[in-house]
Amino acid sequence: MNEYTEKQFYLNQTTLTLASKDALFFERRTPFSHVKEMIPLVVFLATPKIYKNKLSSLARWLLQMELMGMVLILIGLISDHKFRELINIPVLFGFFAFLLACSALYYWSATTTNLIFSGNNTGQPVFKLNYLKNNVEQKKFINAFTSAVMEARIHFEQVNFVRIEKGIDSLKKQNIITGAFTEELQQRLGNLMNGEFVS
Amino acid sequence: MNLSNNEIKSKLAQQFDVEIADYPVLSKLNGASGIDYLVLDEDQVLGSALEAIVKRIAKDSVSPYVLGMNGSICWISINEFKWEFCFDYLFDDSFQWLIIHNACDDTVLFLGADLVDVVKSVLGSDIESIEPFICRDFWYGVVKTHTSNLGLEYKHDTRRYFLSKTKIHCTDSSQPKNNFSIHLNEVDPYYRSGVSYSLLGIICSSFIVLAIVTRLVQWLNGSPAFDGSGHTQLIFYLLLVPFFGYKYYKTVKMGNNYEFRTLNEDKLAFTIPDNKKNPEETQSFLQIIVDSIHEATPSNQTILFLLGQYGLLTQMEWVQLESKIFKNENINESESNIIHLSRSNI
Repeated sequence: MNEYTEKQFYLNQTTLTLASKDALFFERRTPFSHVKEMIPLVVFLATPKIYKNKLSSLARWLLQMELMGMVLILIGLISDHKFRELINIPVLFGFFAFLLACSALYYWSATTTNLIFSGNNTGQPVFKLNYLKNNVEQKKFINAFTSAVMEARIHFEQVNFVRIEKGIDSLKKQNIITGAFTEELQQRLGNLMNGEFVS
Repeated sequence: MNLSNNEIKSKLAQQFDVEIADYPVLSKLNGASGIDYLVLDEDQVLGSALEAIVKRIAKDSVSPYVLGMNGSICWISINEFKWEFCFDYLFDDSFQWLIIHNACDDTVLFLGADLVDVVKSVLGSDIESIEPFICRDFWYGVVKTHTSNLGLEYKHDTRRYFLSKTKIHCTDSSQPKNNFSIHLNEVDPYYRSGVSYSLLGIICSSFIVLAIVTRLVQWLNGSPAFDGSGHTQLIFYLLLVPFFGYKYYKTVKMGNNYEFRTLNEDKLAFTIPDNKKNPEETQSFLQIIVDSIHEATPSNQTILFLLGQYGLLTQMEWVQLESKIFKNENINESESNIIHLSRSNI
């Protein structure tokens, strides 16, 4: 499972592809942007975090006030006889329904559960996806992603060792380091590589 | 290439009847336009030979210099970007013949009438026509090819990108200031592309469009609300239109480019425009660039960083190595007029 696509309201579309050994191809299309990016797999934490967003205190207070106001008005309607004649009841209930629908929509969109793919060193989120609990494809992709990150870390070490080897040769050819020191460095590198594989 | 440098030199000198400079000393030759070039040890033999040959082929007024050479790709520029050519040269094992590929108009130039069969066998079915001509007692054949399969190159409008082992070059025939040549080991292999419009920009532009429409309607209907301030507002908003239009055009144009960034400083290194008609070509070229960036020898700074990161150096050694590398780079930077040949076998 190397590819995963997620559509949101038919507006936003995110495509993730494990393109090569060391990189993730990330494509996101929204009404106002279209971004394609290759992200190195080494920067990620191996397992994405599941994070449930919470309402801000101000939003919670406003929602509580709104509900309280509605209840108070309803109590007023039932208890007070004059109040019932003053206002148009169907219009009032329509208004209530509209308010409730809006708040419910806001509540639902503000408290979605996100899957945060965060950075290894910084802990900052690189990008987010919607967490879908019962989606088999997403589960499969997360497993594939985790194993790919693990492999990429090993691959990264090996690539770095090859680069250091090349680099030592290059330094020698530019006459920056002497022959004896080159051999010394190569020996140290060999020790490091062997030590890595033993442990 | 199993021959030693001296053997190559003598063979080339014999073949093309040119004088080739001695190579253990770094030779520095003065170009007519004030640009010098410096040839490094390993490439010098072939570089100076090619330079001499180009001088012979071209008129006396031009002074070519070798921009860089690597594997089978050679960069020769003539008279500082006025005429810029990129040549590929091919040698067979015995160095009996030479083919120069002029990448600017997809032609191949070769010397010697007995090479027609060789050229045909190398280029295969790509040959469109072969036109022979004689100039200065030399027999030349100019081969037109359908597609060039000699170098790794990518074309877009007036731009041509060429990829060698250690460098990427670009020539723009309409705007010479866009020409560049960047070492691959300074580039981050992870590219990005895309466009995102800012919300503020959308609000501003829609406000301007609305304002223009209302004022125009007022003007056309002869409304009393269209007074002096209305005139100035209409003129002001109409003046803003080209500004925002240019910004929009630039964003859309940048959105089609694949951006590569530099490794150490987070700056834009270069961009590769997307070919909308044939996106697979762009993708394969990008893949080749990424692969060759991975294969390139790391720069001195990167090596130092890596050595320090894996604890292969003591503090003392690290400081010494850093100062030596710094000194080495300072020497290179002080001679900014000199274009270095890429070091092919390092």
